[in-house]
Amino acid sequence: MIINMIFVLFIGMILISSLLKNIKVISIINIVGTMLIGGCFISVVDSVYKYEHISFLNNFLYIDSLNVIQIFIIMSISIISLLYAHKYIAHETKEHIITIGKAKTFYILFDLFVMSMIIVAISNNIVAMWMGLEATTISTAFLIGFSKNKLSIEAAWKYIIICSLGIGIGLIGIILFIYSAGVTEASEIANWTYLVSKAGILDKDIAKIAFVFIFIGIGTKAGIAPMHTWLPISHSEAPSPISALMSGALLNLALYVIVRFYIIIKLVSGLENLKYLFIIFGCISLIVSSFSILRQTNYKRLLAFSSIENIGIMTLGFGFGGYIAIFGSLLHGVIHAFGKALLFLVSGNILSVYKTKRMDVVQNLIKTMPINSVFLILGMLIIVGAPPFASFLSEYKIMIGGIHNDYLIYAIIYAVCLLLVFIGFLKSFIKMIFEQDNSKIYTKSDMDKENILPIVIAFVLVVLTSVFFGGYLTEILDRATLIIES
Amino acid sequence: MLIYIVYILQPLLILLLAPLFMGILGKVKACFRGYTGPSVFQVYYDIAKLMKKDEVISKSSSFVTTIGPLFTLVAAVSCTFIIPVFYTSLAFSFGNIFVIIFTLGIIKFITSLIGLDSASTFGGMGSSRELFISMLAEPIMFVVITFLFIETKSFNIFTIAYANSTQLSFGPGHVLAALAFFILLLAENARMPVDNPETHLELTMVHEAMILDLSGKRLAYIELASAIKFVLFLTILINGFLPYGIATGLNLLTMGTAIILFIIKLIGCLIVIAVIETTMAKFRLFRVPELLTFAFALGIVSIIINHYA
Amino acid sequence: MLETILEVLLIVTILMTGFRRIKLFIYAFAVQSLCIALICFYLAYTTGENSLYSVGVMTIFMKVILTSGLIKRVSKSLKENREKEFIIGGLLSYVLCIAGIIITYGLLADFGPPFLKVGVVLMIVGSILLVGRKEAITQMIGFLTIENGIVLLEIYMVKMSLIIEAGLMLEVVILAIIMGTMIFNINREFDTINTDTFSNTKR
Repeated sequence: MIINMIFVLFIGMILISSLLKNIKVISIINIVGTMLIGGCFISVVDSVYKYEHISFLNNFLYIDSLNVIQIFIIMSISIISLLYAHKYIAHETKEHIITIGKAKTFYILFDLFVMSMIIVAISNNIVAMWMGLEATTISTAFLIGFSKNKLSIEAAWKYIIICSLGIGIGLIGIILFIYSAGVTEASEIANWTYLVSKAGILDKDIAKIAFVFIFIGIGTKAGIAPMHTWLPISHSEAPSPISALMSGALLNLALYVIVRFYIIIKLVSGLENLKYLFIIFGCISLIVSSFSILRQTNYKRLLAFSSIENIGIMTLGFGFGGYIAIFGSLLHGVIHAFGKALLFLVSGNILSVYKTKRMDVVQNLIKTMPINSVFLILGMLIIVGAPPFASFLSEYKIMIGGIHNDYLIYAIIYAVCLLLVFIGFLKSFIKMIFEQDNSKIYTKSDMDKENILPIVIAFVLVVLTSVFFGGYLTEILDRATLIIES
Repeated sequence: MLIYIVYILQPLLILLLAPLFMGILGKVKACFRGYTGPSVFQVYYDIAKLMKKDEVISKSSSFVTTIGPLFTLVAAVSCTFIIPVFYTSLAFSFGNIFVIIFTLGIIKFITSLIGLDSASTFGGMGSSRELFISMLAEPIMFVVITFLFIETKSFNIFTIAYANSTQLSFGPGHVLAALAFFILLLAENARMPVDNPETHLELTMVHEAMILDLSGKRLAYIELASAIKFVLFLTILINGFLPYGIATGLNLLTMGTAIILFIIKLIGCLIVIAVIETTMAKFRLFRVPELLTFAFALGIVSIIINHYA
Repeated sequence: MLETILEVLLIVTILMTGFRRIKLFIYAFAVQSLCIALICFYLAYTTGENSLYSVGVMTIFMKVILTSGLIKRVSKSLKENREKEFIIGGLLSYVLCIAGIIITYGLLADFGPPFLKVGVVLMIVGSILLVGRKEAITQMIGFLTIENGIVLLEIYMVKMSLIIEAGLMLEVVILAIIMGTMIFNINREFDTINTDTFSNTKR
């Protein structure tokens, strides 16, 4: 059974990471293990492609096209992060910044984190989804506070308090949701498929309140403003591979959970106004993040705010509704994951050379780190939505969807915010890359060539998605959109 | 015929036994603290000694110090006639709880005036503190009375005692209101943690400071009035919130058991107060509002729970 | 019997909003969890659902013994044991508590049994503690109180299987362990657990 093999591989990786002492061997075993798990999932994806959806373990796990996107994002970004972490942890251990024990803890928590994300992505049971999200909070708490200096401990404390509170509110929403479907003893009642089939008999008032609680609670985990206050400091203080994984995969996953509930709500008549939740909060996210990007002085925090902005775009897309906008949102999720991972890994390289996160200290990257600065520019273009990349297509589709459904004011706000983000990114990164102080001498850093491989892989994936856009990926996205839309 | 005996016996019980209960409180406290302590009849001996002593009255105090203490004793004694101790029925026409509360308020009012009237500044300080505390404690009183009214639909304390008298399980909010009234009792009668009755440092006194200047007969009157007021508050607490066992018929057996149960409940309350006095320290004066706000919150919550249940 | 336990729970909860010393918070939290376990036992006895017995036993073991012991051990290493200043405390928190209770009882008047309303009151008090205080350990106790309130909500609304209940409680204990370790680290780095000394990210 494929699912058994996947879990055996996970538990095996965790055990090996805790038992062995050689960091290089642990890292290689982790990479190989994650690739094997990815391979297992490919066969699952193939079955979904043929049969529309499959379920395992007596309807406890359920995979359809919407899950496939999430699994693809999670597994690919975790492989990329592990490839980056291989050199990153080796470098830190060699310079005695962290001990061997801490490096082992890093890998154990990393595996737990990926495992809990997979549990959320493949489960059918609502409460299991919630427990998986809670497990991600638990496993990332110490990963954020990894470097044990003042700012990271503060980041870890804020993260755990605000996210646990949010997930607690989400639990209230889930309990109310299950209550609104009838108070029977059935153990089937917490399954998503069961709730979809019973959508006609849900109690409308309780379901409405339940969805609001779920949106606000799990929206805290997804980084929707105004519940986003933990995000800038957490994603900027965490080590770079963790930031990449969290920004790329975790935020997307939380939004996926909200969308699962939204699918049920859409089938209940009379609750159409709930899509204004998505639109209003999406616009607030866009406004808050775009104005913050213009004033940033810390390049990692700028990337974190850009994550908030992209989640806002996706939320807006889900709120606008209609085939085009939702297709755009799902596509944007995929492209944003890879682009953001690319940017965070590049910033990790810059951090390890310059040892500071301030933008005014980092100068003339084109001379000191030419390869990285090229990827920095490419990543910026991907995130901002420049034409050769698929992110342009996704943002454009969301805009078209908004205009089609007569949400003109929100579409205007969206366009203005996109412009502000573009200006903010250009201003900051161009200054970092090209500005030179004539009194200093810049030499090319020899650490420039290190750790380029994962960045290249991320970029290649983006290009593949953008160029080979027809075929497999479009089919999956198309089916996922139909799941949400119909 | 028997009813007239009850009318006389109820207040006589309280008047004669009030100093005894104060003595029991002192004995229990001493027992917790590990020494033998004064005998349970000590308060009687003290009052008898004070009555025989000569008095010193300052020339700068007015008629308030001369006739005030007698007024307080009169108020306290007259209040004992309108409270149920071991017998209650629906046929009492007196006993409105507002009359009881405001009669007991006369004692506080006149004691404050005596404090202002005294020749030393400590009296004024004591009066201002006492009035500050009671200003915050009055709302609790009214909230608890409202709760009793909502629960039993009457303002007459005899009817309230009658309504709750046969059951041991209560409606919602009862325990909260009882706790609120208990905190009020501690505040009004100068007990810990609001005021230390055994202190000899003038700057920490609230109640004692007002009567610093009195001596002889007048001090005896005030002491007796304080003891009676304390026992009266305890009686209202017991018979308003836990009147189980009180006699509602006029036969000797029920009245006998009612007296015994009353004394047992009173001694139980005294033990609780002794524990509080031994384990807690006096609060700073500006933290007393927090304690009283807590009691007020309890009172309001008890009304809400009772209304919505 | 149920009414009396609920009233004791309400008394302890209202008391909690006014506390300042950390030791008192820990005791109040332990009494709260004990009351919830007693409510579980009483409901299991009257409605005959045997799973609630095990929920009660788990609550006593995990919340009263484990979590309180954990927080006590963390608080032993702290230098100061009371709050010196706060954002919402003293009289204002009592007033907010009363307002919250009035609104809860008014809105949820015929909705469910009385312990549902007490659960919502617990959540309100927990939020007041979480938002209005500056010491990290009080914020943690506020969060744990909110989780207690969710347990009360969940007993009434959903009859979930035993594994999920055990999972919920395990998660609360793990969160308590993590928060406790983090408070320990904060104390070591900043020499105080007053969150006012955090950099208070402006941008």
